[in-house]
Amino acid sequence: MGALGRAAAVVVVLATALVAAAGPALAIGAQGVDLRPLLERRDGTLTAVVADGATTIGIRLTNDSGAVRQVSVRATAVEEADGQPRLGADVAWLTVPDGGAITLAAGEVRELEAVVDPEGFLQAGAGEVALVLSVEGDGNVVTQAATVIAVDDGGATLPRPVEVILAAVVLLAVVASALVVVSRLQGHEVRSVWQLRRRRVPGTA
Amino acid sequence: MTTTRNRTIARLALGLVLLASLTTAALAQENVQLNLQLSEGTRSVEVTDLAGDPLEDLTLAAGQPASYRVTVTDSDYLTDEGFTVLAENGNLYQVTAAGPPVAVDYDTLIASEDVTLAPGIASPVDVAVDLLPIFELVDVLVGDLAACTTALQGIGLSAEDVTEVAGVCTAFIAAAEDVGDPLEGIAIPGDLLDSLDLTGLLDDLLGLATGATGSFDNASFRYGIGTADPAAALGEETMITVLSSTPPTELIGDLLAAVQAAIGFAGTEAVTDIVSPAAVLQALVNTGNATAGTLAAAVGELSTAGQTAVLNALFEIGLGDLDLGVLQNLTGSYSATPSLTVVPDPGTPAGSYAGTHTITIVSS
Repeated sequence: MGALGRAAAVVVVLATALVAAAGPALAIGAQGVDLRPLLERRDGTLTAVVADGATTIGIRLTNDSGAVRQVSVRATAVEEADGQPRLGADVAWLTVPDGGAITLAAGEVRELEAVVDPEGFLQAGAGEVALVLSVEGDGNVVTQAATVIAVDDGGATLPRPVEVILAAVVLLAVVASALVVVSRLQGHEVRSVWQLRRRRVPGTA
Repeated sequence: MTTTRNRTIARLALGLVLLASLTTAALAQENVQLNLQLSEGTRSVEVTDLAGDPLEDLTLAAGQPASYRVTVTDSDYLTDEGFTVLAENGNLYQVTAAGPPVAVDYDTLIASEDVTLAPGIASPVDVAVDLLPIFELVDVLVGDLAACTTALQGIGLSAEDVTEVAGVCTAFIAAAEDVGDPLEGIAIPGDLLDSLDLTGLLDDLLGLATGATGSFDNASFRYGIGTADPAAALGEETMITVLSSTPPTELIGDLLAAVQAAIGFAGTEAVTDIVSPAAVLQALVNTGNATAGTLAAAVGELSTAGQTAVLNALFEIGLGDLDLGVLQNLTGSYSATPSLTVVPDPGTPAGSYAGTHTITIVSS
């Protein structure tokens, strides 16, 4: 039992080390409000995998400022200018439906979901986007914090036009064949009834 | 017939092995409590006035710089992630009613290109990391099975532990032949050193820098007063770098020396003076090598005192390769004091003007 127990302990410690290697969750913040994508780090970047019907990305907002904060959350493209990252236009395939105008009470924690349009994402073929937290004060200063995340297609692909055409041709062929078979069967039944009637007519005469 | 019976026996044996494996796993689940603490790091930006209060408005006088402070604070963050803080500015429109809400005349304005930002000087404060030193095994017992057995029988093991010596030595020789003879260089993490102050060293490695002075040639319309400007055009805004850091790629120069000094380790020392026997056994298992795992299991059969004595007889410990991976949980503040200066065109109507200033941090 002692030896078995020690062996089991070693196995468990090893498993723990593997779990820890998944990497920490990271948050970005502005003016006392944090935005934490509920994602794991892969290859150094917080990564969402859009596959198997998973089309939402969890986001947690935490207001540790001690005051009420007016914030908004959106997703933008990430561009580069003069070697520095900058925010591009809003991304159409990744939206934050409840991210428009949010009032966070002091100490409030709120979770949102960014929604991925899989087809739009696959067409865009984009890899990295920024989740942007904007904190508007009472005056004329806006402070933003943006964290860059990667969105992975998980190996999914969009059907290419040629494949779509081939699939349509095959489908049409199947439908046409089915129609021919059905019509032949119906013709056979009509002919059989007609022949039966013809046979009966002479018999009754 | 014989073949069929052999296959049946083989299947039964395989079943028993699987059953034993499942039993071991079940025991692990019943008897061991898992404790896992994942760091949840945060990087945040604060924009304040020079007194440290949140910046709501910045009063500008023509030709006179007005300053504010941008501070980026890392809490348990990663050393290999850089950041950029960018500023953008809208046009300044003539105020027709102070409000709130403020009302402006969009046809009477001071263009954003007349506003200049000077980023100021970057200054780091209280930059620290947790340091996870990495050690490695150094083989000291050289020889064959007989030499090993003789050596281990002479280190004062208990009578019960002495019965395990043959198994330990067989496993040690096998592992040395399989992993490499001598059996050394296996990495072992040491104890975490909390909050090692590396201000002046690590921030240099982080590549902390401010941007260049520039004017906001294209106005920003995304927020505030400018959003209702009939001439608003998104996506054209000029962004000026206020503060940035470039993620380091390696542990170099003075920082490496500082890390080595912090560890306070020179040459080689007795294994269990530096790490626990359990850490050594875990390192052997982590090699993924079956014979090293067998050695760990054989040493694990000994009493705690026996493990200590045997590991110190078989190995010494030296300082392993140090890279950025040993630095964890970055904390610190990096600030800059940018200033805005507006120089209106001659002939600009007198009055009060208002616009929106936006500060953005971008990080991974």
